[in-house]
Amino acid sequence: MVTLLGTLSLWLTLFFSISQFFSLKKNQSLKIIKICVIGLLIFSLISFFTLMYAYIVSDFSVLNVFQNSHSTKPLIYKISAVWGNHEGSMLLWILVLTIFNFFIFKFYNKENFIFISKTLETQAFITFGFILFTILTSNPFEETIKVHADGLGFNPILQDPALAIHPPLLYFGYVGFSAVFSMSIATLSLENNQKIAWYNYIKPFAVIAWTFLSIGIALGSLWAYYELGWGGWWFWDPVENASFMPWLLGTALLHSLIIVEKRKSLQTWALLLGILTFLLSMVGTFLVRSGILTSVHTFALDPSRGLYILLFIALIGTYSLILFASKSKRYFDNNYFAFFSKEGSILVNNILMAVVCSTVLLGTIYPLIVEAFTNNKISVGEPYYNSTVIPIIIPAILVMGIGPILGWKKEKKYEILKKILPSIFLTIIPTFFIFMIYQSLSFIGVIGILLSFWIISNNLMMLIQKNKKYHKGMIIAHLGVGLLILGITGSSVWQKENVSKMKIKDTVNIEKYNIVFDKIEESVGPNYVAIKGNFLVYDKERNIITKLKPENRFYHVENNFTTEASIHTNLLRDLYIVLGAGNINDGWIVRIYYNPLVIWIWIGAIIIFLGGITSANINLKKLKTFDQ
Amino acid sequence: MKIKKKFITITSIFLVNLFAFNLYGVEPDEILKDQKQEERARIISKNIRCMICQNQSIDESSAPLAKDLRLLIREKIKEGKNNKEIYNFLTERYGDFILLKPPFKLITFLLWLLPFVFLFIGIFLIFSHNKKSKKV
Repeated sequence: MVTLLGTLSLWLTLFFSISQFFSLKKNQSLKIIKICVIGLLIFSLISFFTLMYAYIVSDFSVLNVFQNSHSTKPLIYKISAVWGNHEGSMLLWILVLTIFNFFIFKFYNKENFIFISKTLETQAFITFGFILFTILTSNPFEETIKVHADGLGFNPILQDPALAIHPPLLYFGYVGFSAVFSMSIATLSLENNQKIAWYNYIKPFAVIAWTFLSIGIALGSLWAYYELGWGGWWFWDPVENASFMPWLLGTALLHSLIIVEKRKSLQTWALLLGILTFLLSMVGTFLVRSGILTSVHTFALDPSRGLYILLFIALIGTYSLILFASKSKRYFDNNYFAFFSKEGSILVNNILMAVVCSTVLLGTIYPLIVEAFTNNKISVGEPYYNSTVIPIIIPAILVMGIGPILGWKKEKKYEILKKILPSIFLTIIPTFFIFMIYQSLSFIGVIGILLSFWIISNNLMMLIQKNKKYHKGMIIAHLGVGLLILGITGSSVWQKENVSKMKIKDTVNIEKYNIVFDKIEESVGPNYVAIKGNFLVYDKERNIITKLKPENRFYHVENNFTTEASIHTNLLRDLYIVLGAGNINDGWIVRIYYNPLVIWIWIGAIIIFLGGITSANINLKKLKTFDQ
Repeated sequence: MKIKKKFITITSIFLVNLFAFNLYGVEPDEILKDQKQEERARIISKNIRCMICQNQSIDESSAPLAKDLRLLIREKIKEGKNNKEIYNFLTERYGDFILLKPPFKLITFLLWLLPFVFLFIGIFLIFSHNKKSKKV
């Protein structure tokens, strides 16, 4: 029943995507297009929720549910298992595509109907490509041959609240850029007499996609921080890079659209970014899913899937880039601007983002190229990225502090100095205090803290001035970046680590804390059992600060172990404990980290998200008034 | 049914105690007494890839091979070898694949050069734009 309903609705989405494409091509009436758009949305919703229903009721006649679930699993992880596997995540991908398809359609009116029609045409084609891919290679509604009493379970490290919502947020980011892509293609294919203010349409979609991509990446990092147990939050893993690259280009795009809107300059560049950002989102999916880069995210190694996605990207990529090469000249302009101006600073931002993105792409695919064309094998890891990316990002952050307060067109140099003088003071004073607290001078630490307060103080100044010309969403998001840099610097420069074998009642000392191993106990969860360490944390005055309880869990269905770090957080530092192997007689291996300022990474990410939402809201309102 | 559940629980707890392997690299018995030497060992280990893992350094890995290499590096440090000698020793045995920071060679020439090229193209674009703006 479930498999029938699911498969049927999946085929119907395919039908509606094809009819949407052709009815737009043939200039059919609005009514027919409306039926297609809504039909597509409804049936992708039905197929998605049908699978979710199968997971909730543990219907093991569905192969996908059998392979990825178990009746004892908590409800939230039954739901998140829908997108915690390849086939189900494709349904989510399609659903998000159709949601954006629907919202693009909502902007349809007499003035813009050619532009929106062309956008929906491309969107329908992309959607069609992914639905066909799902039906051919990754149908989540296959039936099992045998009847099974229970499922095989779900990877325990994915059974986690942050990771349950990480994929939907990330997909709104990745897939949101499909709308930007479709609009860029539509813009390029418009005739000269059909030109409209395309950037006003692209901007809200780009902001929404970027905002969700940002928070999605942050949640993935947060998960890596507490689940992987190394006390780190970013590892330059190819999968992280796959999300970071579209984020970088997306950042460049958002900023270049400001110039396009205000000065009608850099139009071709913005259109190119609109195309490349989505192409990179898809390349990321390809790299991750094809099994070329194996990781937690590789659900199944199946060459036919990789080949299909590769061909699909090649098709869309070739088409869009040829279109760009042949049609973009019409959007070329001679509106140049001075270096010392708001536009100049945005140009620097764009160039540096593009340089970082190219470097990350190079590092990610270079080992693959070496392996394919020579007999050698090389690794490109964290040290490579640290030594190439960080030096390029530092000037970008410097410019980021000053850019927004510069005037349009041209700014006199001494005017600039007058404007930034207060923030220079505001930067130096807190930096001084931070170093008083942590008492450790390292070059990269000084730079990081200075940059962080540079951004924070400049944005606080703008906030205080209540000047209407500053975009509120921008100030909030930039403030978030400042706090993010504070957290990144603190945790990477001043991290302290203590690894030791501890017996019960042993004490370990880290920074100004004494940590006593009080006891160890057994505990039983819904679908796992665990041993739980009990640690008492005292400060120098022997006052108890907190109890930390790291766990080692065993999931018997999946026959898998996970470790759960226990973390005590305040605004200045995290205390982070993981329990390793051991027994009563010899003691346990205990790993304790003192991670300064980590919380500011997460606070920064949330504030960036809020800034993005604010900005999306402003841009949507602008578009609505503009439309009327 | 209840008995079966209890049985599973008891055996599982037994298993957690038995197999809860150390997931995260450096173990207490490996650590060198000399703090400076240990610090050097940590820095080297962070640049050495765990050959059988996905994108992990031996400093983070729990694999037995990673542990062997960590011990080997510490032995070499105690013998008085400098960092370069240790890296050379490791690459002779395992190839460049073991280095997380690839060495500058013919084969990695583009990997190290291109970021600079990208940057110079970028700077050139900014300058040429600036020049044109002055003409207008």
